[in-house]
Amino acid sequence: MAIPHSTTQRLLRELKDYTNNPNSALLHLGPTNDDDLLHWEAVLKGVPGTPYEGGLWQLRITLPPNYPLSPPKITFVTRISHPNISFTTGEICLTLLTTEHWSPVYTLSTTLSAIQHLLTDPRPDSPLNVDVAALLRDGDIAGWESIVRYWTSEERWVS
Amino acid sequence: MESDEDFMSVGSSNDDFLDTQDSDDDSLEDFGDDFDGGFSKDKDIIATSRKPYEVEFKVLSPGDIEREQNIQVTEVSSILGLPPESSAILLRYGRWNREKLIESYMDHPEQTLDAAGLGNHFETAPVTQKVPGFMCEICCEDGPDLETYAMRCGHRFCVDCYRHYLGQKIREEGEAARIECPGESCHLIVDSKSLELLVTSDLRDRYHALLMRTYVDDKENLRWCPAPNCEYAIDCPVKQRDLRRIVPTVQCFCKHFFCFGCTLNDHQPAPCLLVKMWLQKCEDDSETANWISANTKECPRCHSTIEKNGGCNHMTCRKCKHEFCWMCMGLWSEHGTSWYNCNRYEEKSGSEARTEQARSRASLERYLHYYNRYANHEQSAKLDKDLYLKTEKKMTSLQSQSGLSWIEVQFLETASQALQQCRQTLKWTYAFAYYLARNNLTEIFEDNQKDLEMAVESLSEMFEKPVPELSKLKVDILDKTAYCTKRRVILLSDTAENLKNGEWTFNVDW
Repeated sequence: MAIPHSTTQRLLRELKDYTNNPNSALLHLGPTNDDDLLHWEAVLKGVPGTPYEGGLWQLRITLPPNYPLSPPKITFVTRISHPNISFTTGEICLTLLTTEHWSPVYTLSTTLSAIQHLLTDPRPDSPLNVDVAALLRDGDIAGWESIVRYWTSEERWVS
Repeated sequence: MESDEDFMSVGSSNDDFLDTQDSDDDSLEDFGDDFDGGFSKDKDIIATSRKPYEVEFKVLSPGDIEREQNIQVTEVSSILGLPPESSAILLRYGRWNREKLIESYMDHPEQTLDAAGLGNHFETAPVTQKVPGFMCEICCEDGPDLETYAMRCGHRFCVDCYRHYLGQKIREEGEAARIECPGESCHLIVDSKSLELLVTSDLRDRYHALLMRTYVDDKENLRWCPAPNCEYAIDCPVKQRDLRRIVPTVQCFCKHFFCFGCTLNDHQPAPCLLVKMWLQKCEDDSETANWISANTKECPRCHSTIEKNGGCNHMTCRKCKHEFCWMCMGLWSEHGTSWYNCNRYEEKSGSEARTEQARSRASLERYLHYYNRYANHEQSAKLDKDLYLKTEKKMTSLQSQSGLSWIEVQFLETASQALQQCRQTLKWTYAFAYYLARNNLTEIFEDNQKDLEMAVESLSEMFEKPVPELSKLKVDILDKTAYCTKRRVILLSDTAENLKNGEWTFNVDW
């Protein structure tokens, strides 16, 4: 499918902006192949001082041809234990990524920051990973933290 | 029920054909307020005053809907002293509940405006601008010649991006009343003036159509006609809570008969809730389960399901090798010498299995009794429909063979219409009767049902006669048609009155 000029321009701009102003939440952000601007990948860092500290996760980003009018599709490739992220498919439940709440002003970089923020601010009431959400909801913080720590180090992405 | 839908719509297209004959577009207008729900055709037979089963309603064209909307907007606008486009946004936000909206605005104007996505100050006509040193945050385009636009929230984007954004929302997402500013977490609603300025004319039409849709969807007294491609709406005062006592069948200008309560095809005399239960029941697999329990038995030991399709009463379960008697379900070894002629009916070992089976068989038989008749009328209506398609040819050949004029063979069309309508009613009387408890009222209902059914079947029979005989039968057919219609009116009136007065006793809770 032909990509509209505006989408290409916007994505090139985002790439340039990221290179000039790297995002501290990310280890890497860029297209998977140089000749395909609609498929990107990113490596997200865990927030220090949380059970996700020290973690690295690879994410797959698929951009719709009418980006940024429609939101990107972002999934975790590296497995992560989090109430709002599917452990098996890596699907993320975040309102920002839905068509109703997406704003064309968000960039991939800001969106990924929002995903990092989701790690420290889980919403156990709309879970994709029911098991770990149940721990949080029942107030078993110690149990939750140890499971998260285990998977964070067990699955840590290595280049 | 899809098949049913088909047949109804075929019906309406045929009506169209006939209508073009006396093509008189103004006649639609004439129907106006005193439109009597589709019985105008039988004016000579029945008085035109409203019958107990008919409801008051009005058909609205897209123009009428827009006019109604504008009147409300203007009113609110003058009461609150706000520009019309802001009042429109407020009304949409308040789901067109005017009184509540005005009250809320009078109490907390700021909060109400904020919640509706309106700022608290209003500007004059919106304009696009060229802003030096501007770069669009969406497409990253810049340059001194770039036309840009911002609503009063100040989130400025280039006109191209704005236009694409609105196009995406309107065309792909079907949004209209609540399109927000593209800016990050800005909830300001894009008002119609800004929209008019930015989008192309085809989008503008779609936008207005969508706005109208939300108007009709939001108002409890309005509903779209569900017929394909029909753009009229019905205004009817029947509320959802009235549906236990009224079956509000309405007819659109497109001729489609439907229930205002649930938008299904006309299902008088059965109330919406019973119709829903009935359709669910007919669709439901529970009836399969019912068949299984009525026609099969379970092995008393391992509970495998067994259908006996021949042979003697000495059963040996294939699975657990348990031997038992099919008649009494008792152990075969207890039968002694009375093989092949079970006389142990009173024996306790099998009595429970028997009662359970008898109960479920009786319930299935009762259901099938009503269902078969219901389905039969549905099927017959389809067959009558096929006949009706031939009627047109019949009428033409009658004209040439018997020298009758076009107007003189109209009786066939009238007969066919009556037949369709009566069968539709009959069909639903069976669903209705299924849920009725047995009492005197039900007997009267069944008598009425029987009368109508007999009349319909005999008319249907006449209708099938070869063409040359039809002209001789004209008087009979006319009489029978009138009789059928009358029987239908009696049945519907009687049922509707009892429903209104809460006289029926049902065998289910609904």
